[in-house]
Amino acid sequence: MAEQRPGRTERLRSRRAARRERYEAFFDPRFLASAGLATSLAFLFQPSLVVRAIMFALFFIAAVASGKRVSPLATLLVGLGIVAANLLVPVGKVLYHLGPMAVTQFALLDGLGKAVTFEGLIHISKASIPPTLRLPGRFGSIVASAFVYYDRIVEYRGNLRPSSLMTDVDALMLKVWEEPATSARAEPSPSHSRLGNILLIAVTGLALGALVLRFAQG
Amino acid sequence: MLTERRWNDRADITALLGAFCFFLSAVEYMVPKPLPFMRLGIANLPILLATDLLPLPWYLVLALVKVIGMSVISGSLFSYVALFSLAGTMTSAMVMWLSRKAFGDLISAIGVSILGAVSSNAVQIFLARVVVFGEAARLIAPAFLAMGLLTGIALGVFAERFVAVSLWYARAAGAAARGGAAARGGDGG
Amino acid sequence: MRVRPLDIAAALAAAVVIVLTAVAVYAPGNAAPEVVISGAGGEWIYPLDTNRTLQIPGPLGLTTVEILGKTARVTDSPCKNKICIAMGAISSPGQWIACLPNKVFVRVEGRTARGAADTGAY
Repeated sequence: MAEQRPGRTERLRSRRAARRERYEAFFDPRFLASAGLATSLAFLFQPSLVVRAIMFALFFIAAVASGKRVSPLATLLVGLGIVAANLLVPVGKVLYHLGPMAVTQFALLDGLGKAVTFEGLIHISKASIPPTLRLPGRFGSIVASAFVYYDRIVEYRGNLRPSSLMTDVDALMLKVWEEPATSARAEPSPSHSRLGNILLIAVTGLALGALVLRFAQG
Repeated sequence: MLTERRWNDRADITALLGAFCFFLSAVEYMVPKPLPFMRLGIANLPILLATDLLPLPWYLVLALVKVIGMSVISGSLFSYVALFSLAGTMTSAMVMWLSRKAFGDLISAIGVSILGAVSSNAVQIFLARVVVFGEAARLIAPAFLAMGLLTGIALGVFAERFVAVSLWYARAAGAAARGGAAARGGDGG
Repeated sequence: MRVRPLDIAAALAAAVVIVLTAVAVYAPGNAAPEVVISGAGGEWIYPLDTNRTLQIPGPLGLTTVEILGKTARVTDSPCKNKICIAMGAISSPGQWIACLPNKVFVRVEGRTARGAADTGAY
């Protein structure tokens, strides 16, 4: 019985890793990030709550497809928390009484809107930002250097003991800093499929189209 | 493409401290919090250390590296989480820098850290009120600010002690002072 | 490790801010009052500190309630005698305005618990 659970987690994790590799190979990272940015802006400014809710659902699916870690439970809890916090200050028509608290229409819609926006942006971000993203310019190369150092920190095999914390941390910093540069992270250049770019353009177009339509309706 | 050259000692220190920001953010992520997206501020410790190490432009770059790098790692760059991170980190960085430069010897890392942490949390509460929680955010404001005071003291104490004993810090201070194009084992940038 | 004078000052300043905030938020008297309107069609609650104009439906038509400058009053109503309009503005918990013909009842209540209205204030 104890053997089953680790096996299942391992399988889920490796399936997620496989999804992630496929996803990252399919889309060009910068194109994906740009499309994600445009789509998230279109999402943010979309006035209709119903449309945003649909978009959120799609973003959630995309985040799962991208192989990033997604927790439906955490999403639900945070969302409920946001709605509950907004319900604390009653505004609008009273829909029903929940114990001492009055659930009011405007507060409810406002809370739902904020929760959908909050979680929606998180998931479109997850779906469109590959961790291998290389930022442009000199700033980008500093961030890239930071990632290299970060890898070294994570790989550190020394001990961090609370009793000698200062010296241990100092040793870690010295080792990471002065370690001779090894070969750079393997940078495979996968051939990103054209289909991926087309798909991204289509998705972004849909999101912007929904926005324009809504505003055209007035 | 990532180069292996140490093209600038200050850039190098900035990148290293940025990496520690990522590391501390990951540590912070594992600490259970009632409000998952409002930061404890442990990840600002490298920025606190940098107040005496880096000149202002690099100091600000470090703050940005922390925010953007962390947002890319956690995939939250386009979300409100990144907004909270940006506002909190930049506020903390600016307040810490200003108080360090303005008060000189009258203040140590402890006071600087307290001011940075409390102001950072204040800004984040304000944002939370506008963007997510509405008026109900007021209810957690006192507790959140108090937590800022406590983490500020803790980080400040750590920073003061660390600077006193750290070999790395001494070397980095020397390298940062030389700064400019002086590079170790490579051509300058 | 030297603790410097401004470290203490910073800690004290922070502590003062925290206490002030706690008092402002948690002290019972500081809960913002709200306007509770009852009509034939249901109940409505609005904070007193935000300006609004509301149309409340009743058997005779729409009664207009205006929240302005932290007071509430009836500015228009389809009743015959317009007593509700003459009752003027209310602003303190416990005060009320009634339009009996249109079955609209406006009162100001303090929030004792979070989100709960003061019932039994009469």
